[in-house]
Amino acid sequence: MAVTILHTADWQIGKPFNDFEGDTGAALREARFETVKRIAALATERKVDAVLVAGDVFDTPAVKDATLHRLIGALGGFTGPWVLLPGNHDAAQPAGIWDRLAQSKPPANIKIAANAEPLLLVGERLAVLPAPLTRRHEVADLSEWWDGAQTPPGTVRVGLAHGSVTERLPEAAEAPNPIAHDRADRARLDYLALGDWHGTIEIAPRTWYAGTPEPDRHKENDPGNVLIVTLDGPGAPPRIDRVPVSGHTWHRIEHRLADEADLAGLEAVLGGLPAPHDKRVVSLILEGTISLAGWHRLDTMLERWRGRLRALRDDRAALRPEPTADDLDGIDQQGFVREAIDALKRRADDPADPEAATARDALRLVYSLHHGTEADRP
Amino acid sequence: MKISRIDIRNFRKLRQPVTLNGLDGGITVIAGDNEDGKSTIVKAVQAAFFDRHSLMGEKLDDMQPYGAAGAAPKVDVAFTFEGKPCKLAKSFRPQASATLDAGGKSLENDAVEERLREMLRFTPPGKGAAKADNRGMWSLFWVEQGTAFDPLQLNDDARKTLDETLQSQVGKVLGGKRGTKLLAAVEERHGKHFTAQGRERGQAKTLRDQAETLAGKISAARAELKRFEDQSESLARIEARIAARTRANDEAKYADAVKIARVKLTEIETLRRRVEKAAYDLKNARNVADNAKLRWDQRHEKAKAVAAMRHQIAEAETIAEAARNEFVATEKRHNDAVALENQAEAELKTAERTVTGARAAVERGRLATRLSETKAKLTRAEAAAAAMTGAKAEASAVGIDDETWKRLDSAARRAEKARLQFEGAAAAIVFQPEKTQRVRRDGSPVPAGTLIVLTGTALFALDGFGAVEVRPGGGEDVAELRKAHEKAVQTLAKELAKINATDLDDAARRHARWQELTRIAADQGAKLDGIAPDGIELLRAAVAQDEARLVAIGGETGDPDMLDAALAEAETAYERRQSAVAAARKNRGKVEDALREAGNARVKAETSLGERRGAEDRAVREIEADRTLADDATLDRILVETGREADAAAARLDTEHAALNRADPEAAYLALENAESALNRIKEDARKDEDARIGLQSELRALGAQGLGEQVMQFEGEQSRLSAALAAAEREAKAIRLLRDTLNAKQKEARENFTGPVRERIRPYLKLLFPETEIGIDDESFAIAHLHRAGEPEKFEALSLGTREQIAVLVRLAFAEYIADHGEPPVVILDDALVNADPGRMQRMLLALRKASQKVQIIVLTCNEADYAPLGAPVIRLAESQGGAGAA
Repeated sequence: MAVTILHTADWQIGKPFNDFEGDTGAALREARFETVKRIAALATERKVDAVLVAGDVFDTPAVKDATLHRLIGALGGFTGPWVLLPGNHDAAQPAGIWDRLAQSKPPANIKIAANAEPLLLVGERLAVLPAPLTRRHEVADLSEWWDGAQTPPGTVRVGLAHGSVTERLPEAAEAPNPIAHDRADRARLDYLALGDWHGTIEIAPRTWYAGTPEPDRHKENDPGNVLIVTLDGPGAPPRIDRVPVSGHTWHRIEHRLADEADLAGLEAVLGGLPAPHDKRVVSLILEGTISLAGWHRLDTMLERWRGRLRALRDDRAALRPEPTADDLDGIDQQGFVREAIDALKRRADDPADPEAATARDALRLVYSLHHGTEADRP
Repeated sequence: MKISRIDIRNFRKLRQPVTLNGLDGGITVIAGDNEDGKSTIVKAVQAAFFDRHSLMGEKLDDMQPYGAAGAAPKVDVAFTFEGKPCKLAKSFRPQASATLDAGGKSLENDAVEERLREMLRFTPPGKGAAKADNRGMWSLFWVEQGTAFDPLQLNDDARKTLDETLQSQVGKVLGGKRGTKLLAAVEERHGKHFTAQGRERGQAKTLRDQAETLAGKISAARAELKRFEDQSESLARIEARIAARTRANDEAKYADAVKIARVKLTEIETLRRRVEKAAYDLKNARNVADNAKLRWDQRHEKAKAVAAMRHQIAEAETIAEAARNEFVATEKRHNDAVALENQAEAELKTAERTVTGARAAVERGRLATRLSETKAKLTRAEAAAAAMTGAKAEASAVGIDDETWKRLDSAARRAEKARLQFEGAAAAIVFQPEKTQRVRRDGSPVPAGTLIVLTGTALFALDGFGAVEVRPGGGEDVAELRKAHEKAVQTLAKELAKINATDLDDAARRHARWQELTRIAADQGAKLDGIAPDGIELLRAAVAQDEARLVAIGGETGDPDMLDAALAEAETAYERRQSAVAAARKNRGKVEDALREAGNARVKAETSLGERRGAEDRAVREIEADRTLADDATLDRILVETGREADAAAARLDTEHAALNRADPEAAYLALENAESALNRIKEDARKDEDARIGLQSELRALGAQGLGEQVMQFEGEQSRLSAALAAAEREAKAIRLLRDTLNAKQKEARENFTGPVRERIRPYLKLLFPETEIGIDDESFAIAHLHRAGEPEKFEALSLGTREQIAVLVRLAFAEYIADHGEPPVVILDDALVNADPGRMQRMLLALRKASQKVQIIVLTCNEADYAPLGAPVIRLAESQGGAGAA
């Protein structure tokens, strides 16, 4: 008889998102609890045998008691076993977060995999072999003990770990907390449920990172999913169902502007983001050059989009305002004002001038002020 | 503009019509004495152009001629404007009207005013007469008397005219309204970021303050989190130690080690007790052997001592014999010395008796002589004493000594005084009748011719006359005086009675006798004192004493010199005997000392001998008593046997010691100590770790529950947001500052360019008057700010009146020329504007006027016509222009 598990990881509960303006931070904090509730509902709906959370349930081992209790409440939607593994953000330190969780007397179905010993679940049809982290950075491969771990015959063996699979991660992965890439083979695992990498990826045979179910950064590595893994029996290949569960989607948009006309393209890109827009957290990186009039229009446009999206952060470090003759004529064609903006333009164009960037800002400003004062004209 | 003719009627002091005709397009001089109305002409022209014809009130009153209130002031001016002839006629109330013919177009009243405003570009006042501020640029060029030296003040219209004129020259440098508005917006934005002093404020400051506050919070929260993490690590280490200890089972290991060490120590204790027993035995055996040795030694010592004593006794006997012999010899010497002494003493006594006899003979002689002298003195003394005693006795019999006499004399004087007072006060009456008339007193007849002394009131009956009452004393109390007199007489009588004197003379005689006898007694007393100063009795006693002494000495009296020689010889012999006795005594003393010493030596030697004999006897008895207990051979044997037993006990102790050393007690003790320490340490460590674990667990749970990690991350997120906002604010502040600075710099530059042409125009005029001089004009107000002479700035206000006046006129001419070059030339009217110029400066100023007149019309009003004669300009004399006939 097959065993079905829901594999998830990296919930990062307690992450504050206070670097966002206004109430965005609060909304993003709240979203993580909502996602956990959706996972519980999904587990119930799909009748999974257990939910395995492969580390970093919490973003820090020092979360408030309120956060702890809030999470226990969110887990209430699934009455089957929840196996919570301590990760590098919430390592199993003595009198730490897991002791506090245990002391708060949570429901019996919440199991803390804080010890390196097999957990037999689902009437001993499922043996979970955990490799809990007891500190943030571990040099040794804590999953090594699985190789010699004995489990009852006929039991499905599932490894549960948090760290970096050696020599496999697509990008520069964190060096600490290594996990051997052939651990599933060596330890005769039917499935290895991993956490730490925030995107969903099969990293080795029968070895998956579930990724964070609720994205927390602008990284295009397929976050926002959980995996429903069906294990038909010892030795049988796992069947994986990737299910999106995230509340918000984080986007990173890089856009190049060459002239004012390109603003239409940018508008189209933003307009092309799937609805609902208030669930989009956008990081916009702009580069190229733009006239002062264009910059002014860009300001207006982005201000509009800022209202529509959950969050919009624009990075214009690589976008250079390039005043055109029309820009400058628009401010004044003669007199000392024109002489002043010409002087600023010369400085802005002089790469040796340490104030070149400030001069560019000053030009933008004078353009904007001019338009403000012009707007006042009867 | 050029004015060609001016007609004035009923204007202030100009009651007669004045016509100034034929004004030249260049310079015209209007000359007139003071009070002729030159200034009134200026005011009339100003009224024509700038005051409304409908003007009312005080200002209108001012215009009307003195004493002709109802007359209507009227001013007509003919001029050209933009090359076209114009004629302005303005009449004020009560016949208010205005007409203007300009360029073939005629206007009336308000239209005239409106047109004038356009032409001359001025802003009229809301009501009332126009003031300098309302005359536009014309106030600059029409200089009223006494104001030429004031700093140039440009009103708004004048500046506007100048601005516009200048702008047409240098372009739209000031940016117009747009520039002004933009600059205001920039200033406003700059003001949001910086204070007037350039200090940061506004958003950047607020954000920075917030960031600083937050940094403090983060630092505190991080420190707390670090404490949490450190404690967490500490707890992990402690738990690891506890686990390691449990695994190693160290406590049990060290408990076993302690047990083994203790068994070993029990065995060692047994060995140690055996050693102690052997040591005790050895000690006893050594004591016994030591005692045997002691007895043996004592026996031998005593025997040796007896032998030594006997030797000493023999020596002592020799010494005692010698002492005895010495004593006998000394004793004999002593007896001899005593005999010699006794003999000397007997001889001394004989000599002493001889001296005593000689001394008695000498004394007898001296005594007999002295007795004879004393007896003679006594005889003289007794005679004097008898004479003195006789005189004293007689004086005493006389009985009136000095004191008594003094008392008597005093009483007599008092009686005399009282008598005189009484008699002085009494009346003495003697009746001398002519015939036989009788006189009676108290019925008794008073004999005629008899002195009657009255001391009280008496009534005398006189025959044929009546009675006469006599009151003596004139008021004095004669009776009292009489009483006093009688009392004094009685007192005197009593005193005389006391001494049995018959009267005072008798008393006086006796007193004289007393004095004589007293003097005789004194003389004899003095004589007696001279003979026997110590009294006559002492003399008598001395005689008796010497007589008794002589009887006592007895013998015959010899020759005193012989007696003295015999005495001296006897005394010399006596002294020799005394010396002999002393020498004998001294010798005897010495021999006595020697005898005493010899006696002492003999006793000492005999005592010593006795003591030695006694000691030897006791020692011999003691040895003999010891030997009865154990003889010398027995003591020898015991000494050998006990020594042997002690050696055996020492060998046994060595054996036991070796056994104990082999067991190594120190190592066993150290091993136990180590094992116990290790066990205690392990227990203590375990206890401490357990305590620390419990404490840390509790603390960590409490710290963890505070959500420190969440808090730090929240703060950090906020910090990141604040940093970004701050960077943006700072960036904008930097940009606005650069923008403002650039705009201001450019505006300043433009203004400098802007006023440059004016300065250029002024320079040639200044050069005419003040070579090497530059003028500073304020860019904003166009006012003269300062003068640069030889590179040094001088404030305009600080210059002399004349210099200020001249510079102000030059600047006006330059402005006028400048405006003429770029538009309608203005008319310059100077009313006594150069009254403070010296002849030299005046000549230079005339050159300046000539230069300006090439471009603008100049009308000079002056009371010093001659000053302007070098100009060669047309002159209109005011006196000749009144009555409407004035002409150049």
